[in-house]
Amino acid sequence: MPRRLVTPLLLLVAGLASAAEDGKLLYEQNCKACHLPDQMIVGPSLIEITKLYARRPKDFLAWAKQPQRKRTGVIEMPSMAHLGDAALLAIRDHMAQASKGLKEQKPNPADPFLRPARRPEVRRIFLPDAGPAAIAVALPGDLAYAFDAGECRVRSVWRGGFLDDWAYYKGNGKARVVLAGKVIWRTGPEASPPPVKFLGYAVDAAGLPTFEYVRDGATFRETVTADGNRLVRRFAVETTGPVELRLDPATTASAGLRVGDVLRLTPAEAKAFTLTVRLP
Amino acid sequence: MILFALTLFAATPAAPAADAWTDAFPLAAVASPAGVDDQVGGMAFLPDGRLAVAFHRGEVFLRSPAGDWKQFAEGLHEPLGLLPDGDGALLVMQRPELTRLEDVDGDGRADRYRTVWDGFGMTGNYHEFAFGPARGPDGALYVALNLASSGDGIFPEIRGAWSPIGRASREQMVSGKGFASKLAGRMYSRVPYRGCVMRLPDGGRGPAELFATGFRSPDGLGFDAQGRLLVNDNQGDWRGSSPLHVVTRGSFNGHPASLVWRPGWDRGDPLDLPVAELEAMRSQPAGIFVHGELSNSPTQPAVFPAAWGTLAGQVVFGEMNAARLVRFVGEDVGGVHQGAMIPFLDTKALRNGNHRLAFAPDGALWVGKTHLSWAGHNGLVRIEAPKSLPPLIETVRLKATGFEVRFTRPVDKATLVPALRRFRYKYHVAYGSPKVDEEKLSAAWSLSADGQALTLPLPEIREGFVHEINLKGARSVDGRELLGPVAYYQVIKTK
Repeated sequence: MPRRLVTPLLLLVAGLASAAEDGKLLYEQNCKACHLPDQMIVGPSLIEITKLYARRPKDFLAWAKQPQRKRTGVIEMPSMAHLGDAALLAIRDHMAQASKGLKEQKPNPADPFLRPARRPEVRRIFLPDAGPAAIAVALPGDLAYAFDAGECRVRSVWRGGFLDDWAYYKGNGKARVVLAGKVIWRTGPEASPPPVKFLGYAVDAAGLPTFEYVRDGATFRETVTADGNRLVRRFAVETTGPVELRLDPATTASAGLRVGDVLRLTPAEAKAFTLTVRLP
Repeated sequence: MILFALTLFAATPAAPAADAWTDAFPLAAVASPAGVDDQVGGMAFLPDGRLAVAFHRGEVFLRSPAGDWKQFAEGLHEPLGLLPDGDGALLVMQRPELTRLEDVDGDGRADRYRTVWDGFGMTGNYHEFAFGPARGPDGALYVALNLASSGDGIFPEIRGAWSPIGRASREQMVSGKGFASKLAGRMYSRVPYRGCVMRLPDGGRGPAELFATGFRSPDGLGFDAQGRLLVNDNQGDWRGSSPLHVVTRGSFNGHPASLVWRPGWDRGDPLDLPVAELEAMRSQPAGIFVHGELSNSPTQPAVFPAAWGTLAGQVVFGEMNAARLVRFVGEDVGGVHQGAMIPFLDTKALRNGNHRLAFAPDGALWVGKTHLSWAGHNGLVRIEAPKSLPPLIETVRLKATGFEVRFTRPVDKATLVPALRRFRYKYHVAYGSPKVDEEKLSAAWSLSADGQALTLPLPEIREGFVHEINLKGARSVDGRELLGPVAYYQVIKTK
């Protein structure tokens, strides 16, 4: 025998009350995925909703049936028009009951899994100044760099901490990662990128990565280390033809012929060479 | 408008039969590795009995049968699928690529992160998740790519070729605000293969091919015992209620955004096509996860092993929003596969967030949980294989004259009050759908002499409708509650 309980319903039109609505069940089935009683998650808390619509059932219905985007960075709620007025008001009633006496909680104030970066450490994550297939690498010392696996290039170097990533990890990937340091070198997207293919990376016992990729038909292995104020990019390239790389003014090469900003290496020279980036 | 208050009697939902479920299927939380954000993205058992788990922040751990955790890999970008690949290697699907993690020097930690396939586009939009891989009986790997969401725009830099098809320009999409994302469509596909299922022949070594289009957020793909590729999707635009699709080569599975990636597509923006035309093109779902009552966000399928008695060979799905799993009991009718969705482990003790499923060598079902800031939970739960099955709906079959429901235990006829109805959902651009064309049905039912077969003759079975068979209150002849007493049978074909 099901337990019976008394649910007061505030109704706009008495005729809508034909079906007994269970606000709690309806809330659990339709709202709970995005609304918690005392905390903003995907949408606002029941405390806040109740405060907004305490004396405004009509506005509640209007909103639920035709929601709009109101808050920056918050997704627009899907319309709940199909539930009907009686059910929506039952939900509103339940929201008031369920949030009664609760106090709004600040969502996730600090990262419970915060730890210092291991150096070296590799982390694939969305980064500024790079394409979406980005890889962050913390080097021993205070340097870190971004490798863009889409373009197969080092894109930026920063000094200081590694990543401020709690906003990213506490959500679904929408929040951007902030670099926990000062960017001291960066390069923009290539105007006419050569065909590239990312092959992955190997990590040594310490965790330092060596990236592998094919660029313009040549197979590159690239290991990046820090040496004081310099970033040292060590290459081993397998190729049958000459290799051409475009260098910025801060970069010098251990081998090859440099004409303007283009470095040209013979297959023999490309087998082992370094590019050194002077950093401020 | 006159406002006044009314007092009504409302029946509360029946209290979850936590005791009966957990008596039959004892479950317990499993300790996660220390210091790890234990939202589970991928999970599978290795042949040697160890459990491999990929977590939200990119770590992969191995758990010995004795319960010790050892880290195998780290630094992956939102891994959402994991599959052992022989020689101790693991395949992991992460946002940017399918990766093979290899331990070349044999020290128990991956030292090679080999890119198996990254030939798909990324805009940086948060909703571009990547799912899989599932290994087919053909030896190929199958992965599925989420659409992007109008909940946000895209990055200034993208990977892959930008599709000009769409109402918002790339610049508008980068700005990500207001009308641009409205123009985008609620979920959109502007870089290659978003919304598609991809096939990677020869265990990922062969060239990738587009296998099927029409998905929105396909966070669950796997093969059933007969080798059918099962892919479910999440309620939303073009998804009245979450569907299960049996996916065949070249099929269009309902969400139009990814049609632009069909070879030779020349019809412009699929959102501009008449719905009737899309309806004619789409393959019908084999099952419906009825929104609200059953599942709002279904996840990975898994096949019951022999330890689960007569459930062996059937399919079980995770569910994110509610504290339950869902069984799918399918059959071939008129050349198509279709069947019934049935609530399973419908107990608060399970909690919600049921994301990844894996059966252990001993038959236990392991459930890995996640939330990613939506409804859900975290951690791992182990559910023992049953010593004997409690009273359950075992199968639902469509017969020429109606439905036949079989039970795992003889049912007491006096407790049977079958309540039948049918309904369907709209196929439209709007988010979700009300149930429409809803109709109560009645049947002059009969129970077999052994109490294990309920026959429900119906004068008319309607194609395209979910037929609900609700046996709430039924008990076995030994007085035990029928657990999961509702079946939702989606009829594509009547014969």
